[in-house]
Amino acid sequence: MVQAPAPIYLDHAATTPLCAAARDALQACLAAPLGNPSSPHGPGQAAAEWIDAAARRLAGVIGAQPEEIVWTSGATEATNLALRGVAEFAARGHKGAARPAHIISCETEHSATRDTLKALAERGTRITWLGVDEQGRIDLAELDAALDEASDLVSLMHVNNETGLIHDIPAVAEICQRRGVPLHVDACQSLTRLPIDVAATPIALMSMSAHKIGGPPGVGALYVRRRPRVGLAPQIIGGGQQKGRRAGTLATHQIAAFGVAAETAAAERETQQARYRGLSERLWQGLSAIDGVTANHAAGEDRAAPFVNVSVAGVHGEALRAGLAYGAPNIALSGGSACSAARGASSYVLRAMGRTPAAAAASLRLTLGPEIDEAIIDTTIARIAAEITRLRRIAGQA
Amino acid sequence: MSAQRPVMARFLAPARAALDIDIGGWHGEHVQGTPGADAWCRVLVQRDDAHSYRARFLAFGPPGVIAAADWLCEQVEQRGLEAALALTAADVEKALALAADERHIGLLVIDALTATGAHLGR
Ligand SMILES: Cc1ncc(COP(=O)(O)O)c(C=O)c1O
Repeated sequence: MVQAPAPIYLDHAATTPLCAAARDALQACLAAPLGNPSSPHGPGQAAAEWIDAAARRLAGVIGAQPEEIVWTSGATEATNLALRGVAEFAARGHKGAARPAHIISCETEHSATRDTLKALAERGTRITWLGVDEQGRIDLAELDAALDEASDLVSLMHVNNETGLIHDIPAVAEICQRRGVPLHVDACQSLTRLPIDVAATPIALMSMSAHKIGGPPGVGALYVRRRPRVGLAPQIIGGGQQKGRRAGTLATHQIAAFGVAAETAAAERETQQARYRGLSERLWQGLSAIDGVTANHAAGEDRAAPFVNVSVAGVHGEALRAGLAYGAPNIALSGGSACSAARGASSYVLRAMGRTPAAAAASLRLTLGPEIDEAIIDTTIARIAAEITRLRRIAGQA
Repeated sequence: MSAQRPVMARFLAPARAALDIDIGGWHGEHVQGTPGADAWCRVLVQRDDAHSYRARFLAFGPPGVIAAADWLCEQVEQRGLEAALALTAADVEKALALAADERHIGLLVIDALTATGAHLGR
């Protein structure tokens, strides 16, 4: 019997496979007789030790103190806590009389930020949306001009989840600090891919997620700077865990695995990212040789190494992605983010960058991970070229 | 994305896509899909003799459009043109187990065959 060729997974920006070290930590926690980490007895304290170790590990990766880590169910919750927490705190009137909060963000943010800000706007928060150029970059002068006395927060992602564009967070943080406005960073796609040091960069709040870096899904964290401290109203109230910043019994096994995954990926960062740079360049070179393929990812060093994003002229995006996903070998990739693909809408990120709706709809995002090598890249290029040709021939174009 | 099996199997291997023919000698009109659906279809039919037909298609659109066009061409060849012209969008939907948000697909391919039928009748 002919064996089906092994499927190719090129969707590491959507989620990564669990790394071995994280799996070991998960299993060790699930096998151990652990109690509730809030309990003062032995089994409880054994769980608390796993969590403390995870906080030290994650904090170590970003240059923070362990007490500055607030565990959440993922980056979406971390971002909700940051944005809603700041808006609610501001609306209570800490900067003088009670007044609506003002938050500055960008049109190409992940929906966790974008939709949370839209919901806040409906309830009176003033939002300033910064536009982007065709590479997805904001204009720092425009950011500076958008800040005023009453601004409460700037929220910006570090690496865009569709194009891999790197925002210059140190420069943004410098402007925010000079203007006295706290900065929230969505570091979902940059954690362990780019160096991040909150000791050197004045970031007030930072969202992180385990399942983007080899950890399990369903766990994330918000870094909350202690000094200067940003006012944050808790969004999940209950048993007072995590000093009241986010209530609820902590998921020891997931948190332990997150800490280990972060430490492992950070230790491998330089070698892995250099490898991804070479592989994604090879992938782009191969794809760019196909007629009608154009880049949506940023050029050169402005792009995080694992990302390639292209638009393909003369094919229907859904047909192309389905052909790749279900033909042989199966190629798992995405068009736009996994979230917007579920809603069937073409990428608002690419449209904000000035791409036509057709180009945005016929886009492929390929993101690399540890198991990808040159042979897989070459198979992928050949497979995408063949699928494009097949669809164009069905449309009588080739 | 429609991952339903009948659609996917045909989409991945549409036996009646017009890949192997010179469409010059075939009848068929380019029919645009519902605005916004970003799809079109052209059903090409050739009469072999009084009762038998050959059918091919050209199409652009999501997998469902290609699968539905392929199915409809098969119906023309198996049932004859008149019987195929009596099919409705609901028949297409049922045969391919299309989802509610894929209704426009049945209409598109039926419209494409109707246009071809009119062309042949001329
Ligand atoms: C940039 C960015 N922010 C936020 C999220 C949401 O993360 P989570 O799945 O942990 O809620 C994602 C993942 O989809 C992302 O890529």
